[in-house]
Amino acid sequence: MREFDLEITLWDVIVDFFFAGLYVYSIFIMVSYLVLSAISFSAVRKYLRKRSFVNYNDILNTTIAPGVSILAPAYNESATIIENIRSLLAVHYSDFEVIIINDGSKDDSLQKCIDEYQMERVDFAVHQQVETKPVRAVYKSKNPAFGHLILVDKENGGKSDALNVGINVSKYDYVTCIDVDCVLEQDALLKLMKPFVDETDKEVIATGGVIRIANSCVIENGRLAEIKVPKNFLARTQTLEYIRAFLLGRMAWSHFDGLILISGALGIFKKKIAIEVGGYDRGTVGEDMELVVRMRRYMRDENRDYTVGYIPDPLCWTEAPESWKILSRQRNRWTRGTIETLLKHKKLFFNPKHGLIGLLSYPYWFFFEWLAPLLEAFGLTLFFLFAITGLVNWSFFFLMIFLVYGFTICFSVLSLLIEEVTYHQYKKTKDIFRLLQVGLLEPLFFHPFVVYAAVKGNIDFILGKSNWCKMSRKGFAAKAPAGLKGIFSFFAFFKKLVPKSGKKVIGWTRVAIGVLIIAIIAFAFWFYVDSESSRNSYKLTELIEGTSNDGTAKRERRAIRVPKPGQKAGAEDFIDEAAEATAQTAAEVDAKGLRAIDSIAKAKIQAARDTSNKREKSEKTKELEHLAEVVSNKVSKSISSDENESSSKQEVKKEANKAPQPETKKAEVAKTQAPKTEAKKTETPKKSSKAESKKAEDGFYVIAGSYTDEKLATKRKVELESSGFKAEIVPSNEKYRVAYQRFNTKEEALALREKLISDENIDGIWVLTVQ
Amino acid sequence: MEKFLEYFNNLQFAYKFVSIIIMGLLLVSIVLFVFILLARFIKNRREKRFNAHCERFEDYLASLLFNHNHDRGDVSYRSMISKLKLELKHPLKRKAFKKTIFALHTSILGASAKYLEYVYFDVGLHNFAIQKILKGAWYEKAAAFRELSEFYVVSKVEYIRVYTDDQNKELRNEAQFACVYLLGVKGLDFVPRLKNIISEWQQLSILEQLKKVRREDIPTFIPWLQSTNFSVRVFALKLVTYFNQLEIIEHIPYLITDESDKVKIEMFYCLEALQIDDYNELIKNHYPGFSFDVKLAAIKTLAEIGLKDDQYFLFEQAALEDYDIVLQASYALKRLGFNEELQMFKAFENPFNRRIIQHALDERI
Repeated sequence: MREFDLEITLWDVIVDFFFAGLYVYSIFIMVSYLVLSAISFSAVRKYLRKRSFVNYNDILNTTIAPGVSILAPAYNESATIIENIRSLLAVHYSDFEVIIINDGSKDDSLQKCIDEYQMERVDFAVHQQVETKPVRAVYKSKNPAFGHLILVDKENGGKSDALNVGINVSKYDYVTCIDVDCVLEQDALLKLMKPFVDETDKEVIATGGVIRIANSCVIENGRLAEIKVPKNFLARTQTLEYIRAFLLGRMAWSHFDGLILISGALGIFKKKIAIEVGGYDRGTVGEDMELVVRMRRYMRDENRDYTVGYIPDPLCWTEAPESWKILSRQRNRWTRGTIETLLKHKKLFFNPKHGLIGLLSYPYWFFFEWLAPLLEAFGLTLFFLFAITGLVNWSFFFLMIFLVYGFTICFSVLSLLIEEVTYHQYKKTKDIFRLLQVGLLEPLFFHPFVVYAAVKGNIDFILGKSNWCKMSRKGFAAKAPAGLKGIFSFFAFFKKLVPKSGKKVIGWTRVAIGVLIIAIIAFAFWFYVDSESSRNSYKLTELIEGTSNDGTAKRERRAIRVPKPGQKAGAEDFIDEAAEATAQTAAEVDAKGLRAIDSIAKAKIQAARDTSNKREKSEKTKELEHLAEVVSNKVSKSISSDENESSSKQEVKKEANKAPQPETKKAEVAKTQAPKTEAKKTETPKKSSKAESKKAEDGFYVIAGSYTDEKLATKRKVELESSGFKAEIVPSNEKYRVAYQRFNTKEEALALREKLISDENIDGIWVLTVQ
Repeated sequence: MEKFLEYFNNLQFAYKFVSIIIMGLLLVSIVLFVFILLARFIKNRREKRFNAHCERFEDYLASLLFNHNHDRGDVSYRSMISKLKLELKHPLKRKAFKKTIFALHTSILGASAKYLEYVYFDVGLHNFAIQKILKGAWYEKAAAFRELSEFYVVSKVEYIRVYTDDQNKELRNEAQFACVYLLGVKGLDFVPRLKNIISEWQQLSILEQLKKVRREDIPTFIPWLQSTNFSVRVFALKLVTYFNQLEIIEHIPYLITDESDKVKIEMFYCLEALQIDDYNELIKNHYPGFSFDVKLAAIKTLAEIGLKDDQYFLFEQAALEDYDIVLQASYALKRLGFNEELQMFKAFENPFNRRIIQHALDERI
């Protein structure tokens, strides 16, 4: 057992585990993102090469291509339904039907459709293959031009129920679910259908496509005429987010055949399998993901070879929420949907029977989609609590923040690069700058909000909230609110800066705000570095001064409490008996072990003194005092060796320019005594040269303070002398140490120290050996 | 900076490592962003140059097409070809020339199109294509197949034919297209030898391709119908339908016992398309042994080629309690003109079937 091995408390273990866990988790998630993006990039390039040889018109012209039923549930979509149906009817495909399912809308959506498309009620025998709420009526158009259109009116039952009705009404073997507020690319269905008719080795059960943000894009006659980066900050951020998710994430999962989410906005399913598994789950708000997982499970259970296809081409353009409120609802719903699906299929968790889905996809979703925001929120809360209680390891905090921020920016830029070299959707260089701008701001504004919404989703899930939440749409024709208004409205205190609605905030203002925020963070970090560096220099001084003033532990605690880089939070507790282990661990892990040991010595002395004041000198007190003495000796030795090392280093340094200097034997010895002092020793700041130039006389000094500034040391010396002590300044180890007296033997020095501690009620003193 | 370095030097190894990673990430971000801008710049510049070359070549080809008498022995033609040959050594110019001549070739027909094929051949672009076939990556080979087929370089078809059953699906598909394009129906001779499955998509695409070629020397598809590859049998049935091969129709009904449902369904489509009603009894006899999908296909076929006698079978099906079967049988009866009988039949049926029959009878649906 080593001299300072002390017990480690449970709290230490928890805090250690927390910090280490956070780093490991973060690094793991980042590495996984990088791996996925590398795979995605390779897969997209491969796909694009293959696609260049596909002639979609061949299939478009043929009459024997498989038919597709397009299901579009609508609930209170009166504002946009006519335009959206027109867009769906204009889709390029040889054999299809469009089924609009009015899910008990309270507005005039149904009547509008009936009037606009000349619909009439027909005797449609709905095949109840999947259980649904009752269907009130089915309508077909009297106008042959709208022969592809079917309108179903049903009782309100949610999106899943509406889609199930669509499945029951559909006549084709393939069903595609499209949000009515989406604009499809003309060849979207052709591309999505291709895997079903082109795959020869496996049965394709579903295909999904890429969704992009259509805000600010020019839509003409239900078609995308011009692609633009959204003007609204929130929508623009989501543009970047969607690029990352669809281009870098899902493509990789598809490459592994591990994709478990096909966006509800666009996906084609093999109707037969969807019916066999019971259709969409009506008890979840994440019906899209749940159906894919259930279909996969079913196919696996049935031992059928299957796959889920994915088309990385942008096929569907959707309207992203432009207000924080709606975004919050959307993310809240997504979170609840994910939780519901994951819990419903918990048997998949690390289940080798389900292959890649069980071993990789499901755990990934569990750890990185469900738990990530929770852990992030938990981590931030803990940091906040630690900050209040003074336990924050700021080095760790800042490094963590910068690591995450740096990675997020890097990942965003990487996604922009991949978008650039693959699809090149945003032609203007200005657009790329705009996306970069949100890439810089997103981690500061958007991401915390998304985390908040996800946490709220978790809470709502626990509270049993299961509604879909209203998602009001403006329609593509609506004018987007200008610039950063969204951000400002999120932060009420910025409200005065909010420009009036419709007034455009120039791009440079946004850039300037972004730069300003980054500068503030950088400044905070710099300030911390600066103060930390100073604090390390003056730590001992604070300690001694604190105790000599009033003898209370309060100020001393504050001095010790400030953790140094690598020193764990909670070190102040070593004044209590039970916390000795913390201090010891701190000493072990400290990069500047010498100072830590120093602190321990002072603390133990104080502890011993406190104990002795309160009670008679018990065995424990004696033991503590003995321990303190040992510590003090160790410090003395360490400092002594430190000094020797410094002087030898001075000599060695002269030859340092010739070649890299290997570690000297002496340094190795010093290393064994104070393992973490290397880093400190290797640095030779210029300011210390003055102190080093003065040599102290050999002997043993009882030190009352240590200063980097000679003036402060002199002041202290005067203080001591005015109190009747004989005092002198001992330059040592880059410091000006104020000593009471010099002794030739160590015993004499120790005796004075003991005397000062017990009689004069002065503590925080130690013995310095100069040889 | 000094303080920062001091702070950095005092950090633990792990912290130093993370700090370096952060700096690395930020540096990579900057580099990547610069790369994006640079890539854009280079791409735009390249595109400009490319478009300029295209415009120039367009002028060349236009002058060749319209200012010459399409005589390949003409001196000015020879000199222009020599000039082009020199220019086309440059990859970007070659690419621009290919794009221009491709666009022109697809937009014109007749003698001018033929003349462009000669130009393509004379400037030696086919040699570059052959080089790609011999040494290039799969996508370069596939592009070369497309190029050679577009310009009817029939003499080089053997280079392409060897890839018609390649393991790489895209390469195989392109080779099959090219063969059909270059040799017409004769180009289909790779089909019976296929070991790989020919996908539904590829079958449809080849059929579309066949529309563009001359219908001569149509091979007999009988051996194809006996292929061990089910996709070949399906494709053969599609070809029989496409080429109206009534003379081999007696070989088709045997496929009713085929192990593949896809073959059976295709066979029904074939009988339906060729309006062969001689095998209705055979279909009805085998009907109970069919899978659900095949049963539906059989009823649909009977709707098109059914005779008066088939109504009893169809009414039998309409009385069942399976929605799809009842609906298809009702549609079939309606199609065969048994509307009145169906109305009467409906009255005696249970509400479930009655609704389905009513659905089938509703003309608006």
